[in-house]
Amino acid sequence: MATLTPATPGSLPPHKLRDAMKRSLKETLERMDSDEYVFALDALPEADRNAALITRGELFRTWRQLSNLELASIRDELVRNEAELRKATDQLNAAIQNLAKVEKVLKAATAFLAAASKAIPFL
Amino acid sequence: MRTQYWVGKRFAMLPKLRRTRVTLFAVCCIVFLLSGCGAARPGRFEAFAVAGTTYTKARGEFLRQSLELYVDRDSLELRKQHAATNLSVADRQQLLDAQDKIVLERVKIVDDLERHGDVLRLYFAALSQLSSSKGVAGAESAASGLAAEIGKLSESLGASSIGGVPIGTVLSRASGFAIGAFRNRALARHLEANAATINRELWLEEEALRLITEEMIADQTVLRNEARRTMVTVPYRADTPLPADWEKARRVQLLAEAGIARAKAAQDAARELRLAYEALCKGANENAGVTDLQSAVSRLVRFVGDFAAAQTQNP
Repeated sequence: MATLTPATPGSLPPHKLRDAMKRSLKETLERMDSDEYVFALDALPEADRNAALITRGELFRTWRQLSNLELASIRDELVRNEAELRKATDQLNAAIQNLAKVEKVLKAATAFLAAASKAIPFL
Repeated sequence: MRTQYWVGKRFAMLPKLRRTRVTLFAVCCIVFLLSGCGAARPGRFEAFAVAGTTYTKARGEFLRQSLELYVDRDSLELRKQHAATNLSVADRQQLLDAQDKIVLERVKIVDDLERHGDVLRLYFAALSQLSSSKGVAGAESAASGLAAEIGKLSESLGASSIGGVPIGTVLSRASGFAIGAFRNRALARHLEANAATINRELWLEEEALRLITEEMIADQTVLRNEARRTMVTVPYRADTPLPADWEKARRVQLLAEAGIARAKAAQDAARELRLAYEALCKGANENAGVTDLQSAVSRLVRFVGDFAAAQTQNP
């Protein structure tokens, strides 16, 4: 029976690594936003408080950048799908136009038969 | 002998009208069978497309609202860093530039997603028009008109009936079926040709909305935490008397916090949209899918409306 190898950062594919980092950053930021942390920060010496504030900023920017990267890659995929989506819409519009043509032909045939029934009362 | 005479008479003297009835009956049967060929259910397609159109409209508003919170959260983080006493003017400028750049990147992505939403809306609008009963009403009425004229053309045909139903009515129904069959086949062809594209689109849409919703909830939570700390927690921890409106501030903050999770409506609606489409493709027991979609989209529309109202009250 195969032994499962525990996942390490080196063994994760890039997108999984990014997800794991993002999750970890988000959780850290959440902890840094708790009342307990914020009030404890106020009690720290000025130099430590400054370092903590700057660290929070750096973590925040990294989290935002990773998130933008992920959303941008989804956006790119959606844009790539756009041509096919437009094609599908065009096909639907063509079917709607065909239906309109059927309506037109039926109306023309109705008008023709109406005229014919006046001219020839009995078939 | 009598039977032979009767049968002989029936076949030998088969009147013209009887042949017409038989032909008409056969035509009606063929048309009826054809109408089931498409295996597409226009009523469900219509419900799906209408919900999809509503979703794309609410989605645009939701994306803009997520941006507002995104910028507010960004400003709060900048304000916190601004409190660090060891930063130079250049350091502060650098922080501001770095975060502005990230925000502008996000604005660009959301703009692109909004523009893409217009393409998706056009798709749903076309699907809605084709699957709508109103969409084929003109053709059906024209077909019924034609059937009526055929009935008028021949007095004997107009006066006769099949199974007690007047020929005119039979023709009218058959032509209605034919138009329905035409529409059903167009929908079925659309499914066959584009299922992969639409499926991919809805998967990506769901992923985008999941990511934005998660971040929106995180931003809103941090903003609310800060407001609660400032207006409720800090005054309460202090030895000084509480402000006169402290109770009101507490109520507002607690209720607002409880409502943050409602933003999940966007993520839910995107997921239900994909699930409903998958159900339409599979074609079995899918009414529940469309009902869930309609309910999720309604929740999204309510959330977007409530959020806009709250922003107007507390900008």
